Amino acid sequence: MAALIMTCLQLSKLNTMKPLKLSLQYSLIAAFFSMMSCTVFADSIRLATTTSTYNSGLMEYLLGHYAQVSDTEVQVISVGTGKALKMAENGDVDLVMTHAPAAEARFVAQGFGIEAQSVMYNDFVLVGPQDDDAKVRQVHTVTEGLSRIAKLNKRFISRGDDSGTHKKELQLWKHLGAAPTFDGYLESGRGMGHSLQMASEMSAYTMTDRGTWLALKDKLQLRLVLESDPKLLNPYQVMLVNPARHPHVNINSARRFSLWLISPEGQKAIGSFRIHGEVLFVPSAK
Amino acid sequence: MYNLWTTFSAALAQLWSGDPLLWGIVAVSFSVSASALLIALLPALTTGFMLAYFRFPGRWAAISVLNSLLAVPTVVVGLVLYMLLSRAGPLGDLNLLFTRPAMIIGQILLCFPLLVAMSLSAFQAADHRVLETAKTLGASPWQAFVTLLFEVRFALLAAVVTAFGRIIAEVGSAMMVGGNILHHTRNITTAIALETGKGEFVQGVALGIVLLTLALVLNISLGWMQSHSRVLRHGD
Amino acid sequence: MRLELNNLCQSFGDGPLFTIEHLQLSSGDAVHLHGPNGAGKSTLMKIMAGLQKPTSGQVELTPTAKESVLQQAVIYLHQHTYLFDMDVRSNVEYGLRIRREKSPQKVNQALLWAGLEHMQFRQAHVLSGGERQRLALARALVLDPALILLDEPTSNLDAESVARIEQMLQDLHRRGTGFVLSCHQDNALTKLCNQHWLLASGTLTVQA
Repeated sequence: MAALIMTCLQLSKLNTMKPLKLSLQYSLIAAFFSMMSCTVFADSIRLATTTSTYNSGLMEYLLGHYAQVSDTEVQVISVGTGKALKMAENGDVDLVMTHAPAAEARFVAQGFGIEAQSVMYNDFVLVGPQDDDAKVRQVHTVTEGLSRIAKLNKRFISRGDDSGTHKKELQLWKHLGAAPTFDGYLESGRGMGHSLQMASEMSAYTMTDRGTWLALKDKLQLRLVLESDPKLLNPYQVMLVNPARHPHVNINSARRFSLWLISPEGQKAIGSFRIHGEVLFVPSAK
Repeated sequence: MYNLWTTFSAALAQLWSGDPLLWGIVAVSFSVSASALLIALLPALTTGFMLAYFRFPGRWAAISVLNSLLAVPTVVVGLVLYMLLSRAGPLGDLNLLFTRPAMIIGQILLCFPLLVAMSLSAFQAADHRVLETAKTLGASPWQAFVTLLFEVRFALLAAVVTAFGRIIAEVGSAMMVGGNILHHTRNITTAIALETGKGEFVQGVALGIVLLTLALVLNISLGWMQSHSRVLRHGD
Repeated sequence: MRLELNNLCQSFGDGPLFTIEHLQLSSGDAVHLHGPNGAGKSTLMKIMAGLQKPTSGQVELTPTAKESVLQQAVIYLHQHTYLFDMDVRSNVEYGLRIRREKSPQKVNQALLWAGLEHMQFRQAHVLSGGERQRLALARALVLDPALILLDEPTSNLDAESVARIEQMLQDLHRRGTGFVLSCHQDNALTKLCNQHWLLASGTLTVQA
């Protein structure tokens, strides 16, 4: 709006204004806006993390605690695990927290990340339509549950976005022998929240992390159909971007935050985070 | 389930209460888009003027490229800019990725072709006697250009309004190069994308109302400007 | 002030439009430029006013030969006047604003002279044909030019308007302002002229 008003003002005065004066005013205004745009902070780090930790509210909760002991501002970018690791690989962030053990191992082995620490775990659950017409609730292992859905050709929403959840789901299908090819298997290509909403609208099954499920379940016409299979455990690791590859990273502040996450205080904060009275993430630092 | 009306009224209440988080996000949108527009405006108008009034080799190629750029999706602009600004990219040392200046650059790239194309057609539609009349009455080339800007001001304002509408409503580039960081690069559109993903429809709707109101105001003023410039043309 | 054209050659497309070896014009002159359509009358006048560069040749204004001076000393008026999208008074003020000169008296005088003072705050685009032509003259007069070039000033004007323009040109002539008038037929205005130029078949002939 300001731009519009300024433009009107300038145009109306144009004929009397000196060209130099005009361009000077112009650049002053532009400079003013650019200055407004860059707020200066003493110290900040960038953390790429998954939607499951951000959308559940955990990160905000933890950062509230961290702000009491540190002046470092933690800027959170929440994306899928694949993209988070890619950002770290390119050196666009200072540290990552993700949940895809195989991809993380590769990430460290290739020298992109250092000091991988396990922070916490939560678990995945299978959710489905209220009537559970594939009767997944009658079985106790995720392998059986998924095979029922596939055999009966029920709708199943996959994230399909190379996120940690997607990687995990593909790994589970692998136990069944082959990649899922039944007609009801649909890829949303979107985050967990969107995928859950799609499943709800389409009366489909889907696999979700417990955190997002608890945060959203009141707004969904879905029910939990399978949980507590050890195969569904979902471990989170924090890793620092290797300063040998990217010397510009704020390694000291990133390391301080990473160490805080696995410190007794950080772990206690993780354990005390609850949604609807339920613990979402179990601290797991050794 | 979601009751449309309760969500809508809760959204209005949240806006009315002056929720600082919400209005902070709105402020990010406005400051980023206004900066982008201000920076792009004069170069774009000059380019449009050159294309309208000068014949040079490559002019048609330039116009074709420009018109093609109009059709480029915002995410593609975001992707290209992301790859340029990434630490692994050629401009990584500028340390701009995930900052507001990066979003501003993205929006400049998005509104520049639009501003050039619309000002080009405004200049082409302008009376060819404007420049001659100004010059014969003593105007320098720059003063004549400024006079021309004044004569086609309604068409140019329409271009500015359209460009502002495009960039403030775009999500692709802002999400890619801004990173949707709270208090820094979270603007109206990236916040809507995030909040709906979290199932927080109230805030999404509240921000949507802001955008919708803006679109309404912009379109009404655009209609007014267009009718006004038509009246003038009939009068001539 | 003297305006001189030397070895002027103007081409149009592939062929030449006209060539003029030498032509001279002084501030007091009143010239009627005539000739068939398409002979290049408008082009010649725009060249004289410095709005257009000739294909070759020189346009010289003595004693001061700077182009900026040329542009203000010689003013070209289009056949159909372009009025800026402002009110009548602002149109008259335009050239003074360009010079960063503030003189309301000059503007008032010019408006009075053109008989437009009662409508000076009206938007210019509502003016009639005769009023537009008078405004164009007033807009030129405030700049006190040495020479005014009028391109078909009477086309589509009624007799009364032509009479008023005639009156104004007489005033200009008395003040010592020269003018060149292009008309392809004789009328009340051309009687004011003391020189007649014929531009036809690529050459300019000065007639008695």
